[in-house]
Amino acid sequence: MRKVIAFLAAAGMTLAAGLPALAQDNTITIWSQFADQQPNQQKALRQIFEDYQAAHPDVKLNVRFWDKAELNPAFQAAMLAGGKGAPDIVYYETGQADWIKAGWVDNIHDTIDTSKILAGYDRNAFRDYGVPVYLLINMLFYNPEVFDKLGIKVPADNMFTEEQFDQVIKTCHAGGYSGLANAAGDRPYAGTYIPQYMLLSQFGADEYHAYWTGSKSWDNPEIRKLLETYIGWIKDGLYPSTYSSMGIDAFHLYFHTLQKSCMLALGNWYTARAFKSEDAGGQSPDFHFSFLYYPEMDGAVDPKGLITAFAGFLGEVSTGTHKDIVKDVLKFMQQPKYGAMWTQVTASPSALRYTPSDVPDSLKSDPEIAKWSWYWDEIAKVYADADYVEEQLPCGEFQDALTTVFNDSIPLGTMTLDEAIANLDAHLCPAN
Amino acid sequence: MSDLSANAPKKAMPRHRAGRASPLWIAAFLVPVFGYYLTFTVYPLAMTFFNTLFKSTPEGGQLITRFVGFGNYQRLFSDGIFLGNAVPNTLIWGLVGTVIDVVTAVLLALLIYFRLPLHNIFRVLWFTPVLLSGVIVGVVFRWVFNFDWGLLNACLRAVHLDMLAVDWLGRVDTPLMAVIAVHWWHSFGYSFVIVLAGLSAIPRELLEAAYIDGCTRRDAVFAIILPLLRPTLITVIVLSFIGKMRAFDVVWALTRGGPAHHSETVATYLQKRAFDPLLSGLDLGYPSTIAVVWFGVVVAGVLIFNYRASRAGMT
Repeated sequence: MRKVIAFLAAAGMTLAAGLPALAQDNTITIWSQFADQQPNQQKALRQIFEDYQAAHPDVKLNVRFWDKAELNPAFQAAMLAGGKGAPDIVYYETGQADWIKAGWVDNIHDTIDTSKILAGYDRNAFRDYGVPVYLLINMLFYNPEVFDKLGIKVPADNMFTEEQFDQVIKTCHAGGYSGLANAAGDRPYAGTYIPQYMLLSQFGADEYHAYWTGSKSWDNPEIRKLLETYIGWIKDGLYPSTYSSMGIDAFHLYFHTLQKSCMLALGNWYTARAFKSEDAGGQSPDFHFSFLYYPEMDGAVDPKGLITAFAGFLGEVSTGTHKDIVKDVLKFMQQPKYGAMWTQVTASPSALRYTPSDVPDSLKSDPEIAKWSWYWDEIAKVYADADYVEEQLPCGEFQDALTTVFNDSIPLGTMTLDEAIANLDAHLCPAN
Repeated sequence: MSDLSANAPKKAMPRHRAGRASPLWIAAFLVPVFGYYLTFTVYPLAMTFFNTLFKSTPEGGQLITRFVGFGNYQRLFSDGIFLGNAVPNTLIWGLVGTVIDVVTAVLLALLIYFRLPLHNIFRVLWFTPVLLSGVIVGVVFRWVFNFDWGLLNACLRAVHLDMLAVDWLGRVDTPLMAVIAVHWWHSFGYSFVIVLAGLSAIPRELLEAAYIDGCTRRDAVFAIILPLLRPTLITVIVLSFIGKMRAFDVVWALTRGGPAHHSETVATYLQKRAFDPLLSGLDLGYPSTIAVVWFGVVVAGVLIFNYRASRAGMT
């Protein structure tokens, strides 16, 4: 009898020891951008995660969508606390290169199949650390109706010279419009598009990168002339009077609904906030804007350059658990059909390679997607011969100097040209 | 039968009945409180001081700490944004805001004290803004100050004062004023109730005697009430000043220290240096230095004020 009891006790203890393994929680926590203001991006990612869960019923993907301004500090705080409360997968952008240096995002070289990603990713600084979500292209939108009303004729090559561009700004301003809708109320980059493209047009990709990544001094006559031109455009009415206080949602409305500006300089992620219900702050599908190349500077080396970047990555957090499942999720996401789905649903190009046959049948005839087809036609028409230049990022202190000078001080008129150049030169990135 | 006479021998009382609690009981009540205080106040404060001597950054999954001595302090005292924007803005706010706060609190408390009609309703109304979250207040006033559709500019335009309808939060000369105004609206109720409590402690008989002697109400305020209110006013001034030195929520929600740092305060700058992806560099040493230096400034300010107040016989 005693032996029976002893055997049962031993068996029970063995079973109890094994129970935690059997009851292992296969929940993966994912933190992503694309808060409620960007429903299409949320929809696309949710579809991918739901498909994964359907294929793997033993795994639960717990997704939380954040506003970008809240996600980054929350993740930073969690990782500085040793990873407590941190997710297993995190969405990050090129501005978070520090996270890789900090060791917060794992090297998942074997998980990323660059053959499934658009050309150029094998040269990208993030190629071993995240699956890219979409391709960013910085474009110049314009309102054809306002141009018509003001008698502004767009050249055949969709590109104004710098003198013509100045005249466009003056005409818009005289007509009660701002040149651009861009405003820096809650974003640190709205004022950087124009000077960035002026540099690219004037000097070409290599020199542009040298200046914009803080590798080269800005104190020379060519830069001074270029910045004087930029300051002149601002004085002529390039930005709205509420440039410093208008936020990103408001300046989208300013362009597409209030139609108080002639143009808008922004990335193609414009569609995230614009291609949604008008009740939710989106634009009317009947508002057909078009595109321009940025102004051609005198003696331009690369007038048709378009800055592009792999934008947004999903990476494996170093303190996460279930890394085998995390890698599996990230591999799952790289299927061409999800690249096709992302492009169709969000109207922004996926970073994944796909062919028309990868577009799901359900999306081919979806009226919600079809109503934006004119957008792709315009891009194809205007930017057919664009020269795509890959973005390179500067070190943090120089990036902050660029923000201070071009996004804040010069548009506000609180910094002279000499002060601006001195500020930039004072924060050049250390040579590697 | 017990002997109740004075000569009866006294029974030896147990220690706890003699008015001294046992050490165990004392410890049982004090240890949790001290433990909480040490853990959540002393330790973080000590670590903040300690961190100022190091540059701590996460690298390769580890927190790498390098001793830099007073390097962070040297860096701070050549930091253009800290010295040129954050400190002056915070000091201006601390001085101007405190004066406006205290004057408003005294005036309104006097109105209540002298039984303004509907004073019971006003007493509640004037305190209500304090109950709101600073973030909510900042968000709401962000819309009030909006250039195109904000309430303030709409009112100005309605009375044909269009030239005054400016971009209150977008210019370089107005955002700090907006911050001071909004924070005043949010916080004056706190000073108001403290002053009102101080007024309530003044014996009414003093005023009645003064009135009988022909004192006017105005003379009563300046000759009797305000002098008796001095200790309360000292407290209100100190609390109001400290509050503005460390206020963060309203500024952050309203302007985030912008545009171009023109409404930057020490608190918002510290936040950016600690957590902004571009500025922080994930280093804890430099923001800790900002916190320690500003702690010293505020403590010094309060001590100097208290010293001068006591020298002037105000306490």
